Amino acid sequence: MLRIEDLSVSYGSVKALEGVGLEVSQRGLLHGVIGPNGAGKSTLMDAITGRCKPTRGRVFLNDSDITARPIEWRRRMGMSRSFQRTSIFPGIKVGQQLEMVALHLGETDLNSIVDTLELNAMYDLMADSIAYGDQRRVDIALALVGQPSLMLLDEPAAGLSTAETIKLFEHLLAVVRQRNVTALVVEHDVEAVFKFCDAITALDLGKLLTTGTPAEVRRHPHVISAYLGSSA
Amino acid sequence: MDLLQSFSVIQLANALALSSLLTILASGLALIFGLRDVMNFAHGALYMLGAYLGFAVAAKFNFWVALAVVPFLLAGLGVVFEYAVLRPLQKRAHMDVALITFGIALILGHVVNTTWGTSPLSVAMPPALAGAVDLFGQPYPAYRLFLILVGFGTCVLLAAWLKWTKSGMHVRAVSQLPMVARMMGVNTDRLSLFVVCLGTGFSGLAGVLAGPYLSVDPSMGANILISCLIVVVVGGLGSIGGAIVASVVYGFIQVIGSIVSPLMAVMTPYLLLFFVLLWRPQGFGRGRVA
Amino acid sequence: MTRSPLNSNTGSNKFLGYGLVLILALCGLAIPNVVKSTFYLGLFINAIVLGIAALSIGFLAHQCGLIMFGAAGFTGGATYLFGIAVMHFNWSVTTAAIFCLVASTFISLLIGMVVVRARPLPFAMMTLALAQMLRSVVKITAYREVTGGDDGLTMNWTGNFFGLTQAELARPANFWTVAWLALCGVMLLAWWVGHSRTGEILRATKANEERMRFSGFNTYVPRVLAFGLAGFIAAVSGLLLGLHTAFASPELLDFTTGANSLVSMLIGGASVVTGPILGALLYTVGQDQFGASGHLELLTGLGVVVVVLAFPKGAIGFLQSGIDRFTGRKHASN
Repeated sequence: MLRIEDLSVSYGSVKALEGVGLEVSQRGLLHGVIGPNGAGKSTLMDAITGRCKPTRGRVFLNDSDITARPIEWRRRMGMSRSFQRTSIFPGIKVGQQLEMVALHLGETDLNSIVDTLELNAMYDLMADSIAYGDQRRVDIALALVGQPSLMLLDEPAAGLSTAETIKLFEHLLAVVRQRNVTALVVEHDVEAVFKFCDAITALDLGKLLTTGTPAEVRRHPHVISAYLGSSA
Repeated sequence: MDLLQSFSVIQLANALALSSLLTILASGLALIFGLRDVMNFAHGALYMLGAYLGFAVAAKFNFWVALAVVPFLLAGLGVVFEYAVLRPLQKRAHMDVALITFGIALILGHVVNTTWGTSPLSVAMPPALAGAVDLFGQPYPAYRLFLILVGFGTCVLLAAWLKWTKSGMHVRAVSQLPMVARMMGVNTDRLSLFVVCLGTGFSGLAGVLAGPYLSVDPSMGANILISCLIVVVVGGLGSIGGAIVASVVYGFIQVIGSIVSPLMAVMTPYLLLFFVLLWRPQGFGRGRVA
Repeated sequence: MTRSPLNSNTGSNKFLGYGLVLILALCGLAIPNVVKSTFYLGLFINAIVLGIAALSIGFLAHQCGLIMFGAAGFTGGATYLFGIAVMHFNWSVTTAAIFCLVASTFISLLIGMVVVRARPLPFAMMTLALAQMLRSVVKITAYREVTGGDDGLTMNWTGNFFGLTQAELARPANFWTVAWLALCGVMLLAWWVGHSRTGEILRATKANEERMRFSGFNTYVPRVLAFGLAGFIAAVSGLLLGLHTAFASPELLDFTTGANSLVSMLIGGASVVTGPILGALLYTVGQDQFGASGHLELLTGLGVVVVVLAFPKGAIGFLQSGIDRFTGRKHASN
């Protein structure tokens, strides 16, 4: 489904991402992406979704090269994304913005998205007037509209408490299984990632360390030395 | 007409005379933008006010008194500008502040019109500079040479100040990283006040200098504003060096253009502006006050 | 936990609203029968011309968050296009008018393709530059033949514009119908587009452009179209001026002319279609009260400063917030 080859992004002399390869071929999976600060996780998201242009490498969606395609095209083809810094529409009601995107992307079952992410209570409220945690879920809901096949979630639990993070991941797992969509989730909360994800990719300093099941990744020597430390 | 022939030393000097005024103005605008992050749409009006005040003072006393006094009057206005407008509105959106400077330009325009009327006025050339000077075998108005000297001299001094003095270094620091500069102990408020007054003072200087050279009329503010904006943007927002180069280029375009093609003379600066704003927002200079 | 339908306006409320508007529009046609003074009719016509220009700025500001500092270029440019068509192409009044509107809109679309991607401040600067550029071009001595240079372009035509001769068009009592219908037309157009899906998309793009792209929307094309529409509305204002005064001059392209419509928009607010129009009316009347003594620029300048400082949403927005606070209803900040 998604395949990236030798993806590299450089800003001048800074190599944010170097030669990263990854393949996600199954639907309905929760695939975590972990790494210390500066590992290149957000840059990876940006390069895959088209927000930044890779200096080298290619991105394939369903075996076709989409490296040159604009952001909106990728979204219409089923690759969506949520943001580390909440990016929703201020000044517009929650329900209204969801419906606007739903209409554009041909979403027939908005109700189930709203139900799953527990957004019924704030449906008629202004998106910038609701609580932070609720705004994060709206951000994810916007990414869920239109039956995407691949969702890229950039630190969906940013700013949430441990309990809220667990709850969010439970939501995500439910969404992923019910809707048969694969979610690539960048997350700092390593415990949550190991607990909920079906597969994990570890990055450090722009390079790929390893990809595998939680158990495999936990045992990987580089991952351990990079930042798991004694919590492994 | 032979291009080379028409592009004589005289034309060169004319281009530089025009550029020298722009240079002074553009530096002021660049400084204010660099320090306060504000695109001052009132800059042209300040220049116009300087020109009219120059006319008034010169009529009462003489040109040299005007040259000495008016820039300080405008600098005083700068104090008001900083305390009444720029400092309180630091947190507002850039467009809001830009709109307000736009409004101030209109108010100043009104003040000028009611005080001095709407017909063009002429400022008497100071007798010492009224004659012609021998420039490479051709007679050339002494005043314009004076203008070139003062104009570029001011900018050289400004550049030297920025580069070699402590306060100049502070100005550069604040324009690049205001938060860091503040943490390092630079009094950014006082510095901004100084720079804004310098900027408005420069406008006054340019206005007085322009009096004997161009005519003093109510539309001079608006006309020079857009040239000034173009020069600052193309030269690189906040870059003094860039502003200088850009104003020289602008002067040349105007002079060559008026011979070759008036249309080109009019359109080229605007095309440059669009190009820069759309594809190279940092301008051609080295960026921030440098 | 109930989800109420977003449009709580029931059908009958809507029809009542539409009916009221239609009645007001028709009543407006009769104003020359009520207001007998030629002076005041002329004043109101000025308000309409200014209001339409303000509406053009307001539409773009509200839908796209872009403010045209140089609207004078679009209104004045249209007046010149009309004048040139009538005087130099020797077209009939009606053909020239159509040409003016079509050409202006087309040029606006072209310009829009270039400028619409800019951030608000560079955009404002570019529109100001465009107006100044046009003004300088019009004043070029070599083009005096065509543009009339500094003296302006006086227009003469024979033939009728919807049954009105040039002399009749110059009289406020006769011109009123044209002006009023044009006003109703552009207001309806702006309102319709604003309430359409395109309007919703434009305002959402204004709120968060990146997210729109990440939601699969093309954010460029709608904004180019919005700019074209704003250019069209501005052209209507310019055309009306040309038909009524039969004169185009570089003053129409001035800094201060653009400022008049900008201030009217700011005074009235841009979030409702009636805002800029009412702002223009307030401004024109205020100008009449103060203007005789030549305080126009002062009024304009003070207007800008006061409004931006105290009433970011204009008079109408201010009233609306007041009403909302009074009734306890939370209104969209859009």
